[in-house]
Amino acid sequence: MTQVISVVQEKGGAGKTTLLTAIASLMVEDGAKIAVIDTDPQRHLESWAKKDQTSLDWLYEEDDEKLIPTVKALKKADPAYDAIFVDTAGFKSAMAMHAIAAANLILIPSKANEADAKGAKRTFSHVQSVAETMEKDILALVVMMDVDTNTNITQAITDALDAQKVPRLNAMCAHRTGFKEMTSTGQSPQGSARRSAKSVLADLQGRGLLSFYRSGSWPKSA
Amino acid sequence: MAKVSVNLDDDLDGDDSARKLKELAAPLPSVSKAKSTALKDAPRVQFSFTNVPKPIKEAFATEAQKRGLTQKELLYECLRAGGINIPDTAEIDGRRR
Repeated sequence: MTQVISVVQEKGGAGKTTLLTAIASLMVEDGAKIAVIDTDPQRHLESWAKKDQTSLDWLYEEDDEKLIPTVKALKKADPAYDAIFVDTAGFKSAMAMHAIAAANLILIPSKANEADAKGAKRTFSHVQSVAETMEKDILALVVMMDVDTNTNITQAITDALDAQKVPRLNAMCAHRTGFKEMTSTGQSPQGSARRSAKSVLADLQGRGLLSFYRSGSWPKSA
Repeated sequence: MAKVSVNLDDDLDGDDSARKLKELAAPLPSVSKAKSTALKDAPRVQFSFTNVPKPIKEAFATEAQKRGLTQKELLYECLRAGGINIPDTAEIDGRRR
């Protein structure tokens, strides 16, 4: 069954597209069939996908009311996609609402600063209210991005999120140049960025949150 | 791999969850609606060309008639096919302002 994963954060510049491209491209390398939908008018995800260095399908959807029909149509693809990722713009928009409603899993990136963490908390609350209204289980998790580990600010931000009971992954995407290079190369993250992104993917996988890795289509020997 | 396109013609829009979602999203800013509104409210101007070969003008009119469109709608269709993002005609119809 196709899993829909939306990457949402009310604050801009928190690493939505970076997180999405890193996770999606690593899943493609593991053999997953992936589609990505860019809904951000800045179209950074589309620019990355257009470089055609990662074997996935993409489309740009600007009309918020067409997002869910588009996701439904992609879910009918044959052979089926293992996952559809939805990227959103960094503000509280009608499109973000539709992206939340369309998804089974929401990833909320946050850098280790107060503004991002506040945005992550508001986004988490927003997801909860949409899930409640739609009477649907939507799991949401914060993913720390661009962090310098073992620093006071990273510790303070993660402590604050934990205190507010905002769920987050233990693994974090570290501050690495390889993430910036992805935008230009169209590839998956390389070097130490790759190791960092893989730790995030492994955390998601270990929690059983990515259906591709629980399905028979993942060649576990790879 | 490829840019994909999807057929949305068979989507059922009227279920309860779609209604709830529309209500939730209504007060939030929407890029697509902002664009539609901007086009709907934009001033209207005359749009015409000179020195077009008559057979081309006639082919355009014939094609519009064949598709059951006005010539303006066919122009919008041609622009959309060329990659210019123009919302549905009903959404930008100035008579519905």
